[in-house]
Amino acid sequence: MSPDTSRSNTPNSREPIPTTPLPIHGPTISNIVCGAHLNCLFDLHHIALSARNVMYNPKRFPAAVIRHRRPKATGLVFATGKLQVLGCRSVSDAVLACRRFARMLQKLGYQPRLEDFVVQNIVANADTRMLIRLEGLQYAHPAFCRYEPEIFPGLVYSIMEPKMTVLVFAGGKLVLLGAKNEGDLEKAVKVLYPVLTLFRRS
Amino acid sequence: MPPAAPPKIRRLGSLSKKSLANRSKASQKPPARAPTCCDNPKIEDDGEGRMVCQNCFTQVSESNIVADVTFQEDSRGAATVQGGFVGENARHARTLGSAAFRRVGASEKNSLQEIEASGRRALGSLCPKLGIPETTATQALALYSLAAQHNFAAGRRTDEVIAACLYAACRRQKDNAILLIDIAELQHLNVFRLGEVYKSMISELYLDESVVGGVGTQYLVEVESLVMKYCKRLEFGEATRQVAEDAVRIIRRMKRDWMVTGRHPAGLCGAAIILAARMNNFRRSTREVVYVAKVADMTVAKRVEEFRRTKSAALTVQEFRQYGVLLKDTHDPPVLYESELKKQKFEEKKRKRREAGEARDSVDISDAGSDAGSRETSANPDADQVAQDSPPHKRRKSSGGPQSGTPAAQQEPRRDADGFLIPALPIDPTLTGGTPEAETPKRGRPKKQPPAPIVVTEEELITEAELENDIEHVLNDDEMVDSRNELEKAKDEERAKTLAEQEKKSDAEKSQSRRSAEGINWWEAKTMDQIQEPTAEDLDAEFADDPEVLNCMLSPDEQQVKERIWIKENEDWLRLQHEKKLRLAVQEASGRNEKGKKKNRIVKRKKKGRMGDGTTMAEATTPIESPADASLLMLEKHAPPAFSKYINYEALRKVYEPSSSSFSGSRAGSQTPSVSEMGSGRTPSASPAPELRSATVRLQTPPATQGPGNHGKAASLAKGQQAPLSPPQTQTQASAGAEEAESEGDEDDYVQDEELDYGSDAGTTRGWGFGEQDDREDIGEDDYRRAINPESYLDGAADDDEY
Repeated sequence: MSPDTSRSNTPNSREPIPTTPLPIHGPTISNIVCGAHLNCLFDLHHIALSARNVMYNPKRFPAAVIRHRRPKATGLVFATGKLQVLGCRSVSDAVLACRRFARMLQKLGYQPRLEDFVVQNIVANADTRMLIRLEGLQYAHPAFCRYEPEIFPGLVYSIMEPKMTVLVFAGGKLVLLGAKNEGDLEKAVKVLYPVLTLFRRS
Repeated sequence: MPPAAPPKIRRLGSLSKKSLANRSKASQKPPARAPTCCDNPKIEDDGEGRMVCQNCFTQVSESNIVADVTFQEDSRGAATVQGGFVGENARHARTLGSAAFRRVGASEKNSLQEIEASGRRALGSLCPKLGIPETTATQALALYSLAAQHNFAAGRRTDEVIAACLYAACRRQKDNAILLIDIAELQHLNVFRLGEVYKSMISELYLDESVVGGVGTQYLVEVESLVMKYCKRLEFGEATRQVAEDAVRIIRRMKRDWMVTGRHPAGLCGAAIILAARMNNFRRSTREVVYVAKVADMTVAKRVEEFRRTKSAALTVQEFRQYGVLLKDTHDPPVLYESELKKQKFEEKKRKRREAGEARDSVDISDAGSDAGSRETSANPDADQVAQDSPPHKRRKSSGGPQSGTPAAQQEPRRDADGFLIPALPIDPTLTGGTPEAETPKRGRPKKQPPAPIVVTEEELITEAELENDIEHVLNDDEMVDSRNELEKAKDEERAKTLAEQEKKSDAEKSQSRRSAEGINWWEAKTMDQIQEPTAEDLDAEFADDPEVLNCMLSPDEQQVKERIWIKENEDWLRLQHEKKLRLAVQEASGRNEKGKKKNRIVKRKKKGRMGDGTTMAEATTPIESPADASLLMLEKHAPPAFSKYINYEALRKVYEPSSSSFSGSRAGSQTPSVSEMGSGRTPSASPAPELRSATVRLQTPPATQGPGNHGKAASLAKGQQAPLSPPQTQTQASAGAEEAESEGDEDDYVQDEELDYGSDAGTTRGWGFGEQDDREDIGEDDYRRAINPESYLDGAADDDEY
């Protein structure tokens, strides 16, 4: 699967995204942050003291932190009724975890009603299996890249469509941040991969 | 008779009765027509207050406002120019003094000139220390002014912004050798914080070419100049150039071996210089290079290690100089082979430990001779095969880490008073041995020499052995157990890991099957609403067998314990909350909400631009047609919202909106509405307040109001002060003050304005040539009085009493 080098250099051209699979490992989701509204006021004090696996440190953070193990998820419950679910590795897991937190709060005596479940951020890793010359990439696309070796070893690439940030490392590893769904992830990789191939080790 | 011809001048000598009679008649005769400047006069205002005929350009009349430079004598007798100065690069004049502006913009004290001056001062102290040329310093200053104009400098620490500007200017040069760490060191800043400020500045000022046609590039840091800089500081004398050349070649080679991308340039330079120095028969220790390059010694050592692994490291000096850089084989970057290496090392260690453990099991601990042998071999950790015959040395096991055979470690175990063993101090081999020096890969690594054999007498051995026996039994057992536990732990961890992965996989499969069963497709991620809203029963059913949900409640005993712990932890927070509640209750009970504001609300203030930077005009929603509109808009934006309970806005509106009274018409036309708005919009803040204070005192007794002239007189009588403001201002302030007096009449409220100092500013700036206060007396006093206080006028109060 040789990359199509005849396409334009800019990653944000309006050409159709190819459907052939790219020789990339991933992207594998490593974290999903989502929020939901439970439509019910909570007494965090009471939750913290009567439930297992709940941490509440009001001096540091104004939410109760619930941790579950399978699937591994962390829930932040705010007194206004908002719930944030972190740490899941797939959207369905996140939805399941959300429902499970709601069930748990129900058992504690509240009447939550799940509403407005929104995925706020998906973090994923990918491995392009090639070495990338970050300096070359910075010189070629200065508008999108930020590369400061004195501060951080990776190059920060800002993709416009979908609006995401990708950390590109010299060893070919990518960290994709800011996606709102899996489709975004795939699109970002497809947009970025051809650009990276221009700066790979020959 | 043509009126253009001037009348004949009659000489006295020609006077006679007849001519006199004629003259008087002639003078009584009305002129043929009114004197005009030309045939068709077209008289218009030329925009500067002058009425000029557009036909013949004769000036017909002129207004009173002159644009002369007028002088005023101040208290010392010196002549001061009247008016406000507009400096170069400044946007407006300081006409009102800082006291008035404090409520409006509060930023006038930092005019652009002052900012530039402070920036120049700061840069002037920084640049010589870093050896930055004059041109770069000028660029840095320009960048700082740019940053200030775009409101980047406000809200950030000045030294951070200046350092970032300096770095940005340095990066614009092609031969830059200055790194962030150099600047951060001088300014005592956190280098990462400085990096953040720099990055945000670059993006906010569009210096990063994110916009097409950006303002020049920020070059990446080039290694060549850095190397030159470090070499100069390391004092290679004559050979500096050669060393620098070699170092640059090494770095080029490193680039090809993928060691450079993503790494800090200083670390690479340091390693290259060490190697280049060795190539040229110099010896520079890691410490010296670290001092110059400002990186950690571990970093430099690691870079040297990485370079050692490349193919070019095997060349000789000559060969490297000739064709080292051109070698075709490129090495993998360290990130790819690091994990393999680590695994290998771990395996090695495990293997050794296992072998040592087995050895300990199998051997009897009694033979003195074997002790000697054991000690010799135990000094060399690599000779593990021999260890099978020897009792393991306690020191070697317990100290674990640096096992480079220091004789100090083989002393007799010390005991304290109770017979307990005193463990050995972990001795850093670098202190006893030599400093770890970077080896020259080119010359080959010198082989590790075996330590000198230790000569020990027989008696010593026997006594020591006996002592050791007793201890070793106990300790070794424990150690055995520990090491066995360690191994087991390691095994368990591995098992757990594999189990976890398996579980993950099975979970993923399960969820996958669940997903497909429910029809959820990853590509069309449905939100919760699309999935059916779970009712309570659904939830119950779904999680009926979920252990987490089933066991989520704590038992009453556990609850008590947790409660106790929690309360102990958060005692002070609980107290604070309680206090807050009490305070709220007290406030509500007393019925007063302090200042009508909600406390503890962090209002995120949008950064307001400076006055005059054009954003008001750009962002205006209503069309701006005149300077009045513009100034009104600006004041709306910058001044606090016009809401004061001390001002009767109704009355003010009656005064100014109809604008039919002679009072408003007498002033320079378009200014009045905006000025009046200004006056109404502002809470009583400016210098007239002291006059007003005295005025209000007087206003208490007689119901009559005073004209503006009286204000001035009263003030001067009372305090001997001069009104520092221009008349329109004081008039509006006076009206506002009068309003205040009528509506609130509470003196104490003015005490709030104490903070403003009137002393220094009063009398410094003057208005546009209207220094005199007496002028105001002549203008529409009756109208004014009527406007602001109809009642008192109707009462027919004695308004003349105050004179």
